[in-house]
Amino acid sequence: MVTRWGIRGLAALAVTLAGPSCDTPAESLGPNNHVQVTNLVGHFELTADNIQNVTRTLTFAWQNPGVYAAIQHLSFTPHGTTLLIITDAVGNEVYSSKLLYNLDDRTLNGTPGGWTVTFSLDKSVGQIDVILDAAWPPD
Amino acid sequence: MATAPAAAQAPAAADTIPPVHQRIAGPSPMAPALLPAGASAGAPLGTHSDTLPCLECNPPKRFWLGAADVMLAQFVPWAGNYFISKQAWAEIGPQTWRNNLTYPWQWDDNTLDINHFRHPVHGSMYFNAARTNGYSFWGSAAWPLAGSLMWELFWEAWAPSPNDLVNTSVGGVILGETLFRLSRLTLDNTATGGERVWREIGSALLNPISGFNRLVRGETGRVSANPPAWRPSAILGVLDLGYRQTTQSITNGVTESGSDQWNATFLLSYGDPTKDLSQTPFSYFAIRADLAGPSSGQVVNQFSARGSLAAWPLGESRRHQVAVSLEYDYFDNPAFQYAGQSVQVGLISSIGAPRKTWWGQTTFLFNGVILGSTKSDYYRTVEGRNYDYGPGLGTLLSGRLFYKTRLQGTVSYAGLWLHTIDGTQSAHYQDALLLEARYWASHTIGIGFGYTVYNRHSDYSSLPDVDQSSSFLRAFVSTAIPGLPH
Repeated sequence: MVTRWGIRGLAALAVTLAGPSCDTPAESLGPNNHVQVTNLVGHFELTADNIQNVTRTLTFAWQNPGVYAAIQHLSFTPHGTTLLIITDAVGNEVYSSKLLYNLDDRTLNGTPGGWTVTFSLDKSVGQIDVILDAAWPPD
Repeated sequence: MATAPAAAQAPAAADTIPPVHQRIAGPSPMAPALLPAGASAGAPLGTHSDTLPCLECNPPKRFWLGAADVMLAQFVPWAGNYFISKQAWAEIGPQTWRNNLTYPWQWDDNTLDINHFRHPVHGSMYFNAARTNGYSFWGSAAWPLAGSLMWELFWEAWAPSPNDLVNTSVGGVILGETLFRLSRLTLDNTATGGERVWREIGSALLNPISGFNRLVRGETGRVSANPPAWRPSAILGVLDLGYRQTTQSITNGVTESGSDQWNATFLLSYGDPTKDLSQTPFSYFAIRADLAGPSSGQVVNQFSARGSLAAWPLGESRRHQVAVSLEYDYFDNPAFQYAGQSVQVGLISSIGAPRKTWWGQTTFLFNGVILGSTKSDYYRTVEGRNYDYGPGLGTLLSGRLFYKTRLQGTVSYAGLWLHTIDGTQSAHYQDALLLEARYWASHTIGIGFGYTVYNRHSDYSSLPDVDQSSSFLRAFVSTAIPGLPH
């Protein structure tokens, strides 16, 4: 027999599980996200914080004299999907990954020159800090 | 089990070791041979213990101590990650709680061992917060779900994960009851001195929540009778040590490889695999742990546990029973990768009886995988996930036959369909066939060999399909603990 408390418990569980499925309108990046971009030859960094349910695509042209780029992931985006996509000077995709926390990674080798760095945010929550540095394979 | 791999490599001990019929006497669970003849299960030994009261036979329900245990089981890992390793996900507060209650749940990309081993182990602690505070199996079963919900929503900043909820809840129940019974088997309330200390330590290592509660309640040094439920009607462990050769081939010209390894397999059968099926949940369970090396991956290749939930005999003889069981599987070895929890229902039949010339058992089970993970050929994340999640359906057919407690043969087949709901859009079809033979030179020493072949066909929606075929060839020396039935 289901007790009154049992019914209340099941109702609370149903509300808890159903609640997140309600769609929350997506936001845009604004001044309170403190977006900062450092875009130099061979070095790129993007930081943003206080991101709440943001859906947006950010694209940057970056000069990479290296064969590949070393990536420092220092982001923490616990909700939504936040992707980093990098293409080399001839348009080949050399990297695609979710933003991660505290992890060093690298792109595939590509053609040096004008690379494209794209951040794709889909209902993202959290903070972004990604650093790219030009790199060359050891001789 | 029921998963293809499970059936093949290790149909959860149940399919690979003999039925056990020696009754465990008294408080010395792992070494009944050392006990005086005639001691009955659960009864304390000797004249001294005959007069002892059984203080833990009908323990009261202690809800608040159980709730405190759950909080402790959550605070300790959170504090370690917040204060020591300073993980961003451990920085929780009103904003993260609001986020977790507002935004959608997400499947996570953690490694197989985090999702299918560590989470179920954590869930076993929630289960034992209730189980070791006077609650029955069924009364404890909801605690891992509640504990997991609390953890997912309030103790980490990550989006709550449905995979974590299922793995912690269902895996927590299976591992929780298994560890509860093994920790009780290790305890002896009639023991004193050094033996008592070591038993309490061993039990606490198996079940830390139990150890904490016994310490808090002053039970670790208190002499009393052992509850009869602490002792199974029978028990048998088998340790295989030997050599294993693995071969593997994957289509599309990707790879073909083989490896030679040492192999240690431990099988435990707790309870009577026929008579105890209809007793309280997990009165019968079987576990299998498989280790191998040298390995570039994990030394632990498998851990499986299958426990009885209920059974209904067909006819007076009880030779055939409709049985329901729960199974936990974790495989991560050179031949295949699979993990999951499943519910099984089917027919278990006995042939003959121990001490007869021929005796054995057959099993026909339908298998419902609540959530399984199997290797993906395409899904890869930097965090280490390389598998697809999904529910599944399958069958498990097995038979084992014994001749005069000397020869043992086992045949087992499992087939499984897993439908991916997160990962690479796909369906995985897996099956496994196990053939094993053993010769027991005595009641404690034997030799054997086994052959397992595993096949996987992964049907990807927008990528080339992949077929994998792997096999194990094992040769081993076995020791039975405490020994086969005479």
